[in-house]
Parts: sequence; structure tokens; C-alpha cells
Amino acid sequence: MGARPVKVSQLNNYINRVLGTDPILGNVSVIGEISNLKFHNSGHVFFSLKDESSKVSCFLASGNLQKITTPLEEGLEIIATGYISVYERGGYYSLNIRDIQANGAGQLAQRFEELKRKLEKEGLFAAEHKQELPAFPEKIAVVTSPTGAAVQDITRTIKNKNDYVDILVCPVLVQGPGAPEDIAKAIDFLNASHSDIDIIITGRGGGSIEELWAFNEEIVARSIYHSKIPVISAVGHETDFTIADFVADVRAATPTAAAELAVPDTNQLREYIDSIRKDLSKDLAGAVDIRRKRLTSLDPEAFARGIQSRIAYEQVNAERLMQSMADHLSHRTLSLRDRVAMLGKLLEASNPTSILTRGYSVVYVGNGMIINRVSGLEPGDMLNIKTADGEADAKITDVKGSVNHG
Amino acid sequence: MDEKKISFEESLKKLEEASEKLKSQETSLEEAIQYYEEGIQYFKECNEILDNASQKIETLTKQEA
Repeated sequence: MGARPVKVSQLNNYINRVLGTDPILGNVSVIGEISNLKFHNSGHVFFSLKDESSKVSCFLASGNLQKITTPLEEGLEIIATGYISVYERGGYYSLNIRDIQANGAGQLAQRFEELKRKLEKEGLFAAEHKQELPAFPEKIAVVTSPTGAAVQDITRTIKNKNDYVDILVCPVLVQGPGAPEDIAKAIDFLNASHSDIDIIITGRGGGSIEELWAFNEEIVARSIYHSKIPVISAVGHETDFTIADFVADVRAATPTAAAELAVPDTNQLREYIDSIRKDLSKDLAGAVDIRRKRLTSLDPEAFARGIQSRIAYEQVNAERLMQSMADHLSHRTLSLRDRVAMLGKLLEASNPTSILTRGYSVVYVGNGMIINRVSGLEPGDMLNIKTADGEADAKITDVKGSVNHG
Repeated sequence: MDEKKISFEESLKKLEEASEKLKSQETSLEEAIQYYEEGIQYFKECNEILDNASQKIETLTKQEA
């Protein structure tokens, strides 16, 4: 028991109202690939967004198109933001777009990381596999676009630095469909039929990640890896790192840097070998000179002169030695004499006879003993008194002991 | 071509070696003269290679590749 039948326009009007008031459909972002892209004369853009199994019509008003920076192209994966609107007269709905972002960067970054991991695991970046660049290359191949800035930068830089090396430019596509195959084929071809090439430089000037993408493709990485000729990668600017950079024998920051790395400065080389040549002459002259001096020293006359001067020297030396010994001895004698005089004065100070000159006398008893006490002395004992200038004999007339004498 | 390349790098190396040996104190006079003559020979070879430089810049045609 359905509801009352409605007219087609009523149905579409109802759907329009339902969808138009849905909060999700009023502001939705959709990821999909552009197809059936049509730029209408009015300035509006019509296309479909699709994925593997489904698609949705899209409408981009000319006013909104002005604000969008992503260049729209067929097959590009984008994120479109807008709202769902219903075309009541046609009975279909579409995505009315306000803004578009390229989904490429995220996708590419992921592919880059995946391939990098895979090739790293396989050993394509291994340091052991890196080949050394020859010091003096004869011939360099440049695999790049014949019309790009890179080929100009490389040939100009090489020519400025080196007037010897030959340059072979191998023109290839460096972006867009077929570019990776083109680059890989050129590297393989050079290895197969130009074995006289010493170094391959492959690369291109700066660009967006999409423009540099060929150098992130596996086929390019593998042909660089298999190249018997050393490969320098030179893609974009310093900050751009590609898979080719990781697998190349040498990574150059820019095409100009690659050219700098690849060749020696021939003028410096000329100066260098000239300087060695000068050294050769100087050193040979030096070797002769050393021998001439040695020969001169073996000349008998010179030898005699040498001996005489040696003798004279030894004589002077001996005299100097003797003088210094004499000086030393006399210095010692002098100081000994001083010491003797000083000791004499000391002795003199403690000489007992010197006391006598100051008025003291020494008294001896008859047996020759010096008297230092009265006990034992008797009146009538004979004494001998010694003074500074002579002596006198005397006799004791009385003996008086001290009070405490016992 | 390959032979020639070896000869520049080799000649330069030999030239440097001759110069080193000549500088050595142990070298006899006879050896010194010999190293000098060798050195001059290698110098001439190096110089000749550099003097005959006639740089070519070519572009492969697509058909070749």
C-alpha cells in the first residue's frame, strides 16, 4: 500500500530538497580520476570523476575555475570539494565543485617510498656497487632532453673547464609518457654500442615532482644499476632526491654540478705537469750539486784546510778550558784563605792569655796545679802568679775559708 | 681510444713517480739522470695528449638510439 502517486517533477523536486538539506552532501570531498573533461564555451567545466567501479558527474562554474591552481587534465586524480546538486529537469544529480586539489603528491610520495624500499632491499643502492669515476675521461655521454636547460648547462660547464673531453648528447624525453623507457633505453644503448664512453650524465633541470617523475621509475633505476659505464645523476635542484640519485654511482645536485664533477680542469692539468717538469730539472740539478759538494769536501787541499781549522779550533778550546780551570782554582784558594782568617779570629777570641791582658792572673801552687779553691792551702805554701807580661813567685801568709766552707 | 686514455693517466702517474724517485736522497746520480730522462719523456706524452685536444660535441640522432 504505497503512497499516493506523484508527478515526475514532484519526485525530482522532493529529491532535490532531500539531497539539498543533507548536511554531508552539502559539503563533501571526493577522490577520483578526471574523465570526459569538457571546457564549455560559457567558461564552465563539465567532467566525470571516476574510480574502478563508479563515476559521478561534476560541474565546475567558471567563477570557481579561476581560483583553482591545479591544471585539469584527463586521467588526473584529484580531490574535489563541493556540494551535491540535483538537476530537476534531467533527473540527475552532480557534484558542484568549489575547490580542487591534486591528489598526485601524496600518491607519488607513497610510490617513491615503496620503490625506494624495494630497490634498497635488493641492493641497488649498495656502496660496494658504486663505480669510481675515471680521473681523465675521454668521452662523456649526456642522456637528457636536447632542448632543456640541462644539456646547455652541462656542455657549457664542461667546455669551460675541459677542452679535451668529447661530449655525446643522447636526446631523450625526460617527462611525460614514454620518458622512463626512453631514458632507460638510451643508457642500455650506450653500454651496448658505445663502450668508449667513460661517464654517462643523466638528468634534467628543475621541475615539479610530476615533471621529475621519470627519474623515479624502476626501469630507469635498473638500467643505471646495470650500466658498466659509471653514471652521474643530475636531476633538478639540490633539494630534489630521486631514485636515480640513489642508484647512480655519483649523485650531483644539479646538471652543472654533474659537469663539474665529471671532468678535470685541463688548464690546471697543464700547469701541474709543467710544475712537475720544473721540479725534475731542479731536482736533477740538486742531485748534481750535492755530489759536487761531496766531491769538494774530498779534495786533499780542502781536507788539509779542514784539518788545520779543526786544530786551531781545538787549541782555542783547550785554552779556554785551561783558563776556566785556573779561574776555578784561584777562586777556591781565595775562599779557603778567607775561612782560615775567620777561624783564626774566632780562636783568638777564646785564647785565655788574652784575658790576662785585661787584668786577670793565673795562680799556680807549687805542684803546678791552677788554684780554683782555698781548701788544701796552708800558710807558707809557695805560689806562682802568671800575668800577661810575666810571672812572680809568692808565699801564702794566711788562709781564710768562706763562711759556708765545710 | 681506450689505450690512449690509459696512456694519459698512466703517463701522468709515471711522471709523478719519476719526480718522486728523483727527489729521494738514496738515488744514485746515474739513477737520477735516468729518472729525469724518463720524467721528461712522460711529460712530453702528457703534454702531447693535452695539446692535441680537439673537443667534439655531437648529438645522437633518434634513429641511432
